[in-house]
Amino acid sequence: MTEPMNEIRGTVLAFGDGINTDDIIPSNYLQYTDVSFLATKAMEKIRPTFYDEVQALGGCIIVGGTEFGTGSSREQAPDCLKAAGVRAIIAESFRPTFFENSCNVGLPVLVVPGCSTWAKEGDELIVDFERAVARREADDSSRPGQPLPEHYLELVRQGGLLAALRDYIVEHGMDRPYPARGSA
Amino acid sequence: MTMGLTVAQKILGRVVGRQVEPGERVEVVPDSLLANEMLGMVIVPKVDQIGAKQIDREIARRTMCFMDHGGVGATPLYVGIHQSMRAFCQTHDIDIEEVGAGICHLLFAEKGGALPGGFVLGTDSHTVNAGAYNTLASAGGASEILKLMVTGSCHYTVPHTVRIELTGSLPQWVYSKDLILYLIGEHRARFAGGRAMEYTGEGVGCMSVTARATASNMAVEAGAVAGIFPCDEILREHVEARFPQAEHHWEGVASDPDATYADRIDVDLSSLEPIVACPHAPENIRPVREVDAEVDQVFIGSCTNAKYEDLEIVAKILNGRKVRPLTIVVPGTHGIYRECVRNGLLEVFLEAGCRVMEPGCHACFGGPGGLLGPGQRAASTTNRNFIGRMGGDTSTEVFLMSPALAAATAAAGKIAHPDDLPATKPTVDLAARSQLRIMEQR
Ligand code: SF4
Repeated sequence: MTEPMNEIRGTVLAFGDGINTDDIIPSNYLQYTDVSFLATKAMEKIRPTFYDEVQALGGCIIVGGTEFGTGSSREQAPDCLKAAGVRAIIAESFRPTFFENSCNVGLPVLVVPGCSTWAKEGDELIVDFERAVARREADDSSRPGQPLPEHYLELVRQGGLLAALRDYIVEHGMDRPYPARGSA
Repeated sequence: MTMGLTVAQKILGRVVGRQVEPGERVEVVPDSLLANEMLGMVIVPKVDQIGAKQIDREIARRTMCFMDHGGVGATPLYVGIHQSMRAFCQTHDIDIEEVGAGICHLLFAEKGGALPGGFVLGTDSHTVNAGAYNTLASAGGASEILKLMVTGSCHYTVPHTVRIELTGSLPQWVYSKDLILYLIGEHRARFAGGRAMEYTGEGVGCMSVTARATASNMAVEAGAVAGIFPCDEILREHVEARFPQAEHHWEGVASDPDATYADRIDVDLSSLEPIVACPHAPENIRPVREVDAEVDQVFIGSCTNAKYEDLEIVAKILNGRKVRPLTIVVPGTHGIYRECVRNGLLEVFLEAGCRVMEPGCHACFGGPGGLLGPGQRAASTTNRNFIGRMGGDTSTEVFLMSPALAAATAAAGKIAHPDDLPATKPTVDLAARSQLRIMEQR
């Protein structure tokens, strides 16, 4: 199933520079494997009302500063943001592992230089990932982003890596247990 | 005209089977794969979600799995995660170490997972630790590792490299921890965007392999995707003594003299001083004597600084002294723990009043064991001091430092330099104990 990537709309929740993965999901919650529970704890230490705010808005777009997602390689970070209702993240720059993880779990992310001073908390933004541009309807201003490589776009359009892997395992018969030892 | 190649390019060139360029995204099969609780927390649930009953046989063979984050039977949820990991590893015939055996990165090295010229991926950001072994070692996200386990390969971006030219040698009380804290504090921006650090120069020779690992380990805090050391005599001897049977396919890899670097940093090791990283980021560095802070807890552990030589430094300083705040010592692996027992270090720790916990991560990442409460302040030999990283909220403070400073701080009750402690007489004859040990071995 291909989702349109050109019109992701949402209200901005703004964050500063260097938001790390311990900020996004504190490590004491990592033992919980239920992502919908983790979602309720997202950003707990630095913005305790985050989950409720996103629920009240019915989804949001995060605007970040430099090195968004620095710290550990935990995939629970983009996973729980997505589950909390974050539709997309734009930032000055991302930590490479966080960027890759986000694409893999189907959370669209885009580097938009200057976005942290341009977009303000509460702005309504439309982010076009196919053309790599963020637009604010209120004053019809926009900021160009760094175009995403085709394989990322493809992955996010498909809804993340899991969908692709599901096809792979069926094709390769890996959805069946290993043949018993000694049998042909 | 062909340009020279960096270590990262050469290792990946071998893996991919052709010359590769920085910035290129290539399909790879790592020589070994490190997995920890991330397997049980994220990968196994996703394996179930996609309905995979099999994983790639070759990747299973190359994988080493560790249970270090959850502690020994510490919480019901972690016990469950460990059960699912054991079951997964049994089904897929994957090598797994029991809980309490040690911290993944240190055990991985002890077991020969990191060998010169190798390419390593792991589910944990500090997989970069293996860079000390002349290995290109990086972390991958859980889904990327899942893809590797299912399809037998994954993708990796060839990093640009920042060359770190080391001259001189480390003065007394200054360690590889101070070197990496200095690089993080002074040069962090240069490593951003997925670059690799490559340490080089004669200064490398003053550091043991495990000391180098501390400077590789925190490459990720500097913003780098890898922290690679060269393969010199010291590393060659280290590897040959421990893994005489190892398949040394690659002998060690060095950059070409005309290799292209994205940037270069020169560090005169003899000019460095003992450094503390203040809350709440590893880049907030200050010389130790400029920090005036009493602490509620000292934590000496983690993949960064819980190696035998780290604990040896701690024992030398604490010998004949008593700790003031709650002081927790966590030997990095079961093997290191045994060495501490045999050589009298454990006796020193216990006499000084330290609490010694079983090998594992514990409070380093906010796991069970040694957590802080609101308003508490800790001195720690770990690698991250983000808000709440060791438990607690914004009112909690963590100061990162070398084992020597942590030991001095434990004895003084406030952040301290070992030279500023009042003189004391050792109570345990550590030299005689290790002497005895050498005689036993003969
Ligand atoms: S010791 Fe700390 S940094 Fe190292 S693997 Fe464990 S939690 Fe991570």
